[in-house]
Amino acid sequence: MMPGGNLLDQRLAAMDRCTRCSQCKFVPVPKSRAHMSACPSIDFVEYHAGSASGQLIMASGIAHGEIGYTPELLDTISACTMCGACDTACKVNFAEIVEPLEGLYAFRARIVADGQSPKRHREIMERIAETGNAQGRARSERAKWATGLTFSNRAEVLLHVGSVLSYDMSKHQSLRTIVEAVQKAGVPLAYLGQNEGSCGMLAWDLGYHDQARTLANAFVRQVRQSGAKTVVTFSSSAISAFRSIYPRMGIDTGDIRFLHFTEYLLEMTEMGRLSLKKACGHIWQKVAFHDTCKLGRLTEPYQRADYALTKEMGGIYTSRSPEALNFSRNGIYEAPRALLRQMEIEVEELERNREFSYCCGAQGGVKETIPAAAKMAARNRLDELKETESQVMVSACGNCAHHLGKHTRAPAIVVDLIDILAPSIVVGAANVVVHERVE
Amino acid sequence: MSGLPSGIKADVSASTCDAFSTDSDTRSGFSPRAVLYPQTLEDLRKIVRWANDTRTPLVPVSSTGPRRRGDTVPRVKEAVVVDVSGMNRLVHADNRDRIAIIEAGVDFGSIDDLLRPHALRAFRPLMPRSGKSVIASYLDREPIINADVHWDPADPFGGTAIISGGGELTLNGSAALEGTLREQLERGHRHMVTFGPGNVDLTRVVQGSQGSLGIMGWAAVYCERLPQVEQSIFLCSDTLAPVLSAMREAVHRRICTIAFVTDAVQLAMLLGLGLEVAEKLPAWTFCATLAGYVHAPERKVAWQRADLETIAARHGTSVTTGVLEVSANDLAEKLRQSGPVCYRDLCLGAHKELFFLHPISSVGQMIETQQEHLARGVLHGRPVGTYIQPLAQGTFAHVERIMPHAPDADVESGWRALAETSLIAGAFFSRPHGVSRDLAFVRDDGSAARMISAAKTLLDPHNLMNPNRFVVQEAK
Amino acid sequence: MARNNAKHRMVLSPQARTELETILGARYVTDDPALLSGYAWNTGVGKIPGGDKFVPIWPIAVVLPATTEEVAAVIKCCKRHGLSFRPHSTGYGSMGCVTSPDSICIDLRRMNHLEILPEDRMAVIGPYATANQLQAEARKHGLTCHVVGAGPAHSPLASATSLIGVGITSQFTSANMRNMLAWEWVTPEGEIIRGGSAASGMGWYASDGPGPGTRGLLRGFFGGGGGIGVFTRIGIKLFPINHQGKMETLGQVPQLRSPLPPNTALLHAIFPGYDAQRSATFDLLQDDVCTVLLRMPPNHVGWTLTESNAEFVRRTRDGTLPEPARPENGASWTILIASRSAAEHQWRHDTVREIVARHGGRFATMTPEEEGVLYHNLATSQYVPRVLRASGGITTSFGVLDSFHFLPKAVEMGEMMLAKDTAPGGDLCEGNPDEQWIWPHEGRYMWAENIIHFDATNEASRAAGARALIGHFAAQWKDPVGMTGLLVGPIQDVTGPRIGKAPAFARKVKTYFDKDDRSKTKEYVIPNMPPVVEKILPAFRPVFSSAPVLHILSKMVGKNGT
Repeated sequence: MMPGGNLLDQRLAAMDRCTRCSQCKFVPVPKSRAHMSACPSIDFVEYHAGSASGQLIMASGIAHGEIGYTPELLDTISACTMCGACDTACKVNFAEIVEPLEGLYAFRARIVADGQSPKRHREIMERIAETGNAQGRARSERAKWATGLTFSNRAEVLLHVGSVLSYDMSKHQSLRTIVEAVQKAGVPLAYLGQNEGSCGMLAWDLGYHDQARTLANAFVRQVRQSGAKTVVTFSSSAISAFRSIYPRMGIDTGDIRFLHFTEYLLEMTEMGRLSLKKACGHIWQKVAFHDTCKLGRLTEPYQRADYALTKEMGGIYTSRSPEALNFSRNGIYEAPRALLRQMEIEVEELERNREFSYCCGAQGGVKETIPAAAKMAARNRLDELKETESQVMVSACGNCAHHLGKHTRAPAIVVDLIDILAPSIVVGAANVVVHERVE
Repeated sequence: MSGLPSGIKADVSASTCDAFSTDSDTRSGFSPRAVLYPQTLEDLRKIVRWANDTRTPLVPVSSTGPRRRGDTVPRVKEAVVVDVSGMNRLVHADNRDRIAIIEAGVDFGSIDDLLRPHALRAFRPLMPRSGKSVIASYLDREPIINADVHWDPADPFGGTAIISGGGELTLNGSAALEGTLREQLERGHRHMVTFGPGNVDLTRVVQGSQGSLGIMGWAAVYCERLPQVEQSIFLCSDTLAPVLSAMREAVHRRICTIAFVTDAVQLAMLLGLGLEVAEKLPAWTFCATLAGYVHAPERKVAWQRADLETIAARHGTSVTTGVLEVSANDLAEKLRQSGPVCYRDLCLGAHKELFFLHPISSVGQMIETQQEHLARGVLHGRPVGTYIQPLAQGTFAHVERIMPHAPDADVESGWRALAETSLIAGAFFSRPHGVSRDLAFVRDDGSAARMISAAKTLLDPHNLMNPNRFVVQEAK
Repeated sequence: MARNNAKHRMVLSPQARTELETILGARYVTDDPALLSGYAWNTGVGKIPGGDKFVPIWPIAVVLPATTEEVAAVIKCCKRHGLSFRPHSTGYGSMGCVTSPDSICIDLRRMNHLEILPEDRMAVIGPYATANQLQAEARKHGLTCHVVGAGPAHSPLASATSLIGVGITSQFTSANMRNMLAWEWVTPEGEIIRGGSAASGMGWYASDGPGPGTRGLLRGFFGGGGGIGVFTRIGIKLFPINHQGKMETLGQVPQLRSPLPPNTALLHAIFPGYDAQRSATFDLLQDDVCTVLLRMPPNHVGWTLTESNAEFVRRTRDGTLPEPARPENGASWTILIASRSAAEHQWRHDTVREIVARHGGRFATMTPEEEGVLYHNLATSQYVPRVLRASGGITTSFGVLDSFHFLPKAVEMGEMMLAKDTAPGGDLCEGNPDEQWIWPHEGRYMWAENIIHFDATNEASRAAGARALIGHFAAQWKDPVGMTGLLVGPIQDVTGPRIGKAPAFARKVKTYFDKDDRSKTKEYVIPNMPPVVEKILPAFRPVFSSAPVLHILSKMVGKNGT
């Protein structure tokens, strides 16, 4: 990895190609005025600086010596959830020539390298260093949810729970139920327990790339020690880190297969080792699905390739590895929907869905740093529910579900997918009823 | 008293001058001291410069025959009327681009004859009298009846030549090119653009100014290609809503060219029938003309007719080709003919008019309000016609109420009361004439007065063009 | 860290700041350099940038008013403190940057009123109701808005009031200077003035009256360009389309496509030459047979039909681009036919096919996916921003309006300006000999706009861009192809007699409403020019357009930008 400063210099030419067209502020084809925004950050900041374009311009200003760091600059970048919607929107027109998200990563790294990281970000990093999670919760409590469960020291499959779910007691019953079902289906699981740490995603988002790499390397070492060839994670941040960020950091994950639990459960159901019975209760007839940024567009695998551009035909900037360009196409969009359908739940699409999903504000350290921005993003996202027939917004990410749930207003509710899956999960093929739904 | 500009034909006779001191609905003007008859754009510029040098008020006139509305009646003493009706040449016409350049004196009585050799005809307002200047009509934003091509109130203007009140020749829109007009035309320019150039659009400013900002010498005007197939039809109803909504849909879809709604009184007047016939006519009629110009014209008209029938059915009405003994095609034919006298005066010898703009979606409510007023007021029982013309392709409508009456009938106050009621109900008097001359500004938040004052200062710094034409610029 | 541009900065006085904060709240006033940077970005879109990524002149402060009254109060505050201002809506390109060091940028982002009046086929919008929002809302009612060249993220209000206003669907959506209905404007002195029916409190539908169409003082062809106060609300006309509801999107980023609604066809006609295309065009314009006609240079079609520059370059080189994107097929029209009924559609379809065949043309073969991509981009005007993808540096030139008689000549002039430098080894990006985007307006006249594509990081390329840009004006002065639309700022003054008295009147308007030149811009006429200079400036046109001067000017612009 390039040191933070150099990374910015490396991205500078691309940043400087920003045409300030503002397309990064909007979903590519808005379906309504109310939900046209792609960017929670510009919605909160309002000055152009809040957009991806604005951040790239500030980064360029720093690099060119046009501006210095100011509290306003740091507040502004702190409102960005690093959700990547700007990148998707920009690429509709500009493909390889700007790639805003790469610029934002580089800018964050530069800020850290310059010793300018916002205080709250530093605090988050201190907590991660101390406790292995951004919340600063005790390591000793990390595996409490698994009390009574048995895991192998070494197994083909390593269970990764993630920092949010590990400490969210309200989800522990569902988590246990699902894990138990997998085990009952005959899959020995390894689990790092208290030794599970941060995957490094947040550290990366905050610009602490060295620390992120340290965390990543530590985790990959743990995986190797477990003998696992497959890592199944309940964390959308983690799956994003594994597939998209670790390769950026040059971390060799070899033949380890990283799966989100939704993908894994889907595989299990398709193999007939698990099945999902119909979810009971009328509220489950139709739900709206919130695509988590990390799980969706930001899980698109990052390929190792030569990402430099070559000037062709007198000034046309062309990717040397066009097949490796990230267009948000290959995120995890289908697996959670398929699981919901298996439970005979109709999935209603929000206006901004899949790669065009609007970030709920839970990621990127915004929740911890600028709570008002995170709240606004959640409210904006929840407003989208009004356009649907559903009162239920489902997320496959514990972080999103928790954050959205905190800001929802009755009668709407936000449900974590695991809380729907747990009562419906059945060991074996579909016609075998093992237990009744727990209300 | 200053002399008159040399080399320009002038008439200072009392009979000629006195004729301009009034018109058919304006009694309070002044006699001009002369009437000038320029023949060329250069004459016009000379006159305006002379007026600036001598501080002589000018009142431009381009139509001939009976005048009304007061905009050609001097409101100050010692004015000179500039009668451009002699500038009546067709300068150029081009069938391929469907455009012609005409001088200000070309009138509706002659323009189609001038254009016919070029297989073109003019866009017309509703049955203009023959002496009405085409350019004067367009300048006054009189609505043309071809709703499909009325994109914007500047239509059907292309590029224009205007002498500003300050005496400057301004070439506007795409007329603003180097070289003489002849040279421009020879290069292939057709002056098809009205807006601009640069940061201003003086054609638009002068439109609606009633001669108070400058004089247009010539203009490129969009024309209609002579259709190969033309079919007119009526959609009739006892109530306004069905025909209005059918018209709105048809106009929004641009599936007819001529499109307007009339009530029975208005239709009787248009058809030249006695008012007593109105009772036998449908209460409301949407008059539409379908035209096939070049490409498979029969097929075009056929699908338009079929689609119009579908629209009619959807709105609870139906298509018919005639009412009583009169066919819609007959009406269309009449609409292209111009008599010397305004059709509205033919029934009873005189008429009152009230016209304004209104959103097309709420015209029905406006008419309802007016009808309620008429039913309980002093005009109760009198025939009042209604003409609804969609503008800007059906964004809003020109609503016109016409009351034919005997010349000696005392209807002034009753008519004003109708206008006041309309104003309260939201009538926007964009063209302040007659009864709306003062009412147009009653609800102005000050903006219109401010902008008219600006336009006057910028284009006519010495206030010589038709002074006091607008109440907001009258000397206090 | 030191600021490179500190020498250009003026400082907001504490008193002015206090007043602005009182008007708007402290959150909506900033003079923080980092937040200002986004308003000093030198993108070069629509201009030739210099080598620096930031313009030399930054705003003193940026303010975010939410209401017309706040805009007026800000302007009055500027006046009290001897400051200038520049309105800014979406801020695409560098044209929204302030041009004097004493200027405040008024970012109108919070003024995003949007109300659709479907039965009146119109909307009422504020400056930050962007075209994509307006279009999305309009589509719910079977309507669309006109989207100008800047693409879906632009402000239709800004386009209607302040800058050009033409767009690729002008055949059926006209142009925004004509789509603008009633209006609200804050003068450079801070007065609030409304025009048309809005002045009488009767809604936003009628643009003119009572009496004169005084809007023409403020909005000609080019638009106010930020030089004549701030427009804060307008009514705008919308256009019925043959599909009601949300725009369906298929495919994946970036090749989004949309299915054609029933009774819709997208055809790409290729003609043997430009004379044939002209003759066909005169026929295609009769009877309103086509909904949209658009001629893009083939390489620009190629950018649309490829997902990345890499794909474009590869397929250009190996000759696998689809027919519409091949260089030999420049004489072409992309034709959209959008009908409501089957009979209508059949008539349109047959007629178009017959006309094209009669003039020796043929239709390109496209896959349904390619057709869907072209349709999607046409309907949303995403085409245009994508044109920037190649190098990130374009400017536009020519911008002529006149009869289609001039179509071959427009292409010829486009080639004259570009062919040498767009050929391999030239100083501009490789491309078509001409890069004219051409389309009709309202079934009548032609707009032709020659895109200049340069490498913004290369001084020689920027100079070539400048040479072509200025060269267009020089060529137009010598042998006009029509009315020049892109008369940016002083170009108007130099063009002089060609545009009659317009610059002089614009200057009068400016002086009348803004005698102190508070509404500062380079996009308007030069304010306060002495009459003698006004008179003699156009005489220097031969000098400006002479080869040596053009060369020097181009070099200067290439180095320092415009």
